[in-house]
Amino acid sequence: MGFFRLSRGAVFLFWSLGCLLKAQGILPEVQEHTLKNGFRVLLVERPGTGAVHARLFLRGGSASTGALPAVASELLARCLFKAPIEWELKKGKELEALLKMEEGAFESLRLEGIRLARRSMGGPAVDLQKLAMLRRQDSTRIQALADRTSLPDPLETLGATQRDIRVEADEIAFGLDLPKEGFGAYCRVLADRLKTLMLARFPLEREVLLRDLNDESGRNRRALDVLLSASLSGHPYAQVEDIQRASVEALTWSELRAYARWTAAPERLILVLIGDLRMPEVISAIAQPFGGLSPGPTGLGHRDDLPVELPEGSGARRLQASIPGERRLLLGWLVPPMTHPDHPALQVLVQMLGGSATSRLPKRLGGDRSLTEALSVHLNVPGGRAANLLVIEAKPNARHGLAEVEQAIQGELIRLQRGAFLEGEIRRAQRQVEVDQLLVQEDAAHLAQIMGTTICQGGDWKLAFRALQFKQDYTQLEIQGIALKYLISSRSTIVLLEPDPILMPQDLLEGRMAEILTRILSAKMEDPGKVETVVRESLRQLRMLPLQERQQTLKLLESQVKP
Amino acid sequence: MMLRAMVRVIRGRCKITSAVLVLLLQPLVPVDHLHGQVVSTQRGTGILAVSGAASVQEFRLPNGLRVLLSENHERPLVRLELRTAWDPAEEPPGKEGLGGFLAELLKTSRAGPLNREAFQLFLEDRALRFSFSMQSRSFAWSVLADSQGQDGAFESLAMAATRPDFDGIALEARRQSYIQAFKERTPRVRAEDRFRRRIGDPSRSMLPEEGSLNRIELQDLVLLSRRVLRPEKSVLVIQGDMNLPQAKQLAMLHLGAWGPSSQERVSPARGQLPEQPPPTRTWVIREAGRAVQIRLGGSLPADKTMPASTLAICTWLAERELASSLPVPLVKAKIHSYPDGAWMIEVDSEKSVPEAMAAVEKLLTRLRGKGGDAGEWIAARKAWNAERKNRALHPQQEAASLADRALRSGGLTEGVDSLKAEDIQTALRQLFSAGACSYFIMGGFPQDVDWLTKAGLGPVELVN
Repeated sequence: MGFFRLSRGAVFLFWSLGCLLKAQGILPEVQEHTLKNGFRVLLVERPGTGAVHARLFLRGGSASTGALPAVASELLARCLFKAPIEWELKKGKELEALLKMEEGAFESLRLEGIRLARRSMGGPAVDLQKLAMLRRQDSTRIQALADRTSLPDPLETLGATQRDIRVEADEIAFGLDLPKEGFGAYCRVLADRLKTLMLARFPLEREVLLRDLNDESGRNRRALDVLLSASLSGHPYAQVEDIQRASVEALTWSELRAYARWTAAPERLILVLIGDLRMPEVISAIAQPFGGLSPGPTGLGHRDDLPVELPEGSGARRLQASIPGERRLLLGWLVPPMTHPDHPALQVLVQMLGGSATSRLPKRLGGDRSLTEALSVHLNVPGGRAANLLVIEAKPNARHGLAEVEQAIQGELIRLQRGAFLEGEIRRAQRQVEVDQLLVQEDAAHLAQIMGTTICQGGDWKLAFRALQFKQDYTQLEIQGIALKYLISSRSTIVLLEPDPILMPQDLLEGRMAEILTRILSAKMEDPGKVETVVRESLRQLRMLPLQERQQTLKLLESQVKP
Repeated sequence: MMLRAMVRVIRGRCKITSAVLVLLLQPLVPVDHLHGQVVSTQRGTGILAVSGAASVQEFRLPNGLRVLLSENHERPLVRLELRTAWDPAEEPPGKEGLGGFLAELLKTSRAGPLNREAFQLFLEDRALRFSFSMQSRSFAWSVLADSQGQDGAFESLAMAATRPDFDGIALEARRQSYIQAFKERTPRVRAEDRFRRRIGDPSRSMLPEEGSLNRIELQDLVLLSRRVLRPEKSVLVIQGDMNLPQAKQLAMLHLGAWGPSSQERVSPARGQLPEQPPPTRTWVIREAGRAVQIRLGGSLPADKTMPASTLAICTWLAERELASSLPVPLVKAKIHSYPDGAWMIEVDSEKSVPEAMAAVEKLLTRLRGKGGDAGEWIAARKAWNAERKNRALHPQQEAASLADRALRSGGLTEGVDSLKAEDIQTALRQLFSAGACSYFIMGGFPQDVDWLTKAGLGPVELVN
């Protein structure tokens, strides 16, 4: 009886605290409603704006593609939320037949390509040209349909602006702004797409994706992929940034549709609305279109049950990889999911390390020492639903090496673990975290994004504003304890990324320098392996010199070699 | 809602410190001035009906600073946007890029009595989100605070924008680091920087070139800052959880002392300036084996302006044109537009440079000829109106747009109802006029680039 009274009292206390925070405008006033088929809607009213920001979340991102490659989620998002080509065509069956034909032609072409490569030792040649022509014909027909029918996009005619498609490890999101009068039509358009799941843009989007594999974002993905695959091996999170040409080509339209039926099922959908709407009008607008969506298939081998915790790791892992792009250093530590009680303290720790220009790492590594050109610290990499990584990423300045930067970061972390705190440092960091959670509410798109992401990762939107709900300051001992618990070598993976000077010379000058150095050293050392090692290390050191000095060095070296 | 309103009242009473301070100051300033002067009103209320979501109240401080207030008490947040007009004609011959150098120094100089690190701590202690940027025709400061930090937000703005302090030693250190960075740029990066500067892309640093950088003195920066950072040339937008009396008090308290200073012009560079070659129009980066990529861009002449609505509609029409169909052999095209009429189009081609350039010319001709279709014009107007309406969901964009409009044209309306199709056609012809375009071409290139000069795209700079 006593316990019952006590718990009633506690519930009342939390309820009152929640009401007070809401009344102060610190927490957004969120209204929720769930349809019978599981479709969930959240609304934050912004009366008088005359517009609404709508953001639809599909629970299950690139870590939930099951047997399919992670890139399936990206293709699904593009096919589902870009202007559909079947619009105004009204010939679904014909389009479906055309897509099946294209799928068959593309797959035959791909398989013949593989067979041909395997038969390179000998065997009958296959006429690939014919297959390629067949496939091109189908592709051209689809492109022609797209050119003819994708304009005007139905959402654009409703006044949709600032469209934004995001694919993360745990969710796919599609957000847009809309005049409030267009909301009913928006629901019908989107529900229609989710019902038919034609994904007719698939061949076009696959081409775009293949073309973009080598651009700047592709290089950034590859860098993160090295870290994730090394530190989270065996976990679905390990593959989220792994995009290979072969896996994109192997993915078929039928497979993507099957995956879409599971991911876009109503029980996995969350619609977050911020704007000039009331809940009754929202319910009446969504009831028919979204309420009519049928439940998705179960099973299908999708990984909906990510392990929350991972083993502590097998000791410090350190990798040196040569990939194109800028030099960078990535340090990752295994940390628990966002629902874990330690998560708020980890947020404060991240803020202390790199949240602002006066935080520890930017101050010690930037400033006068100028070791780094860019430095950032992130939590929940690649997602927060399961055990994930706290990542420090640094790009060293031209005159400094990766190892030097790594040493400086480790030094700072050891200082933190030994309890060397500055006056007011924790309080300042905590205040920054609190204010971040308050300021994010200013912009409708940011608020919707953070609410939806938090539901997909942690189940409750309030987790996004956890710092605002605790009024107690962390002590030095608590933060030191967190650093000692998580920022330890048994949980860490360190990746040094730098284009190898011999395999990937950064410019013509470096290529020439490698050539000359090899000639000079080969005359003095017998072991070619040793020569290569010395040349590689010398070129790495020379990279830190300004261009003019490198040019002068080359001239000096050239003078030592007979023409 | 009731509970929220009560909390607001209580919180308002807690702001007693600043209120008392202002009351103490009040006898020093004539009442009319303290309360500001409404410059244009509806029925004398001081409230301006602005096309957009919120109505805006306006007053002017005695020093000439125009203040616009857009109240919103839904969230306990306040945003300040300060814009000050910048005219590139302020840069004397031989010191081109002086404005960009000033902007770089404003990011790192002392703010009032605080050095940069102390200023950063000041911001963090008060949990303020502060930013500064230079646009092609204005300098812009932005501060976001929770309601408790509104006093600090004004103070930070006052320190950074009205009392910057340049240190000669720091200036020299900066200059040397820029010169060093310039030397380390690869020829390709240098060429791209010059191209971006030519088209007025504000996302790139507007620092002067090496020659100018060496000629600029501390005194030049001080004089320029006095000429540019002036209240009568500035607009402050306050948006969020603040009412008119609070806005007047805080603006007066922190920015009321932003006084007039000398208007002396920056003197031209001393001595004989080296003869300048005619400016490059086309940069060619020769990279064998890579697919052809062309960037072309331009900007309005310095003496011309274009309303944001006209610019947005032109961009919308250009986007549609690029999305619908591209002249062969172009495969991908994207347009970026910047404030004040600067734009850049990026195109990829699967064929050779001469073929791609011929297609680019076709594309430009198409863009210049757009705007005549009535259906298209109606759709463009509808899209612009939707964009304007939807902006209410993004207070930062709303405040920035309001400040830009107030600074650029003085008026706050941005409706397009008075716009005619002919106006848009003229604007498109002006924006995409053949003579105003510069080109940055990358790809496997034939040995001879003279054909570009013959085609009227010279002077050409070839970077191997």
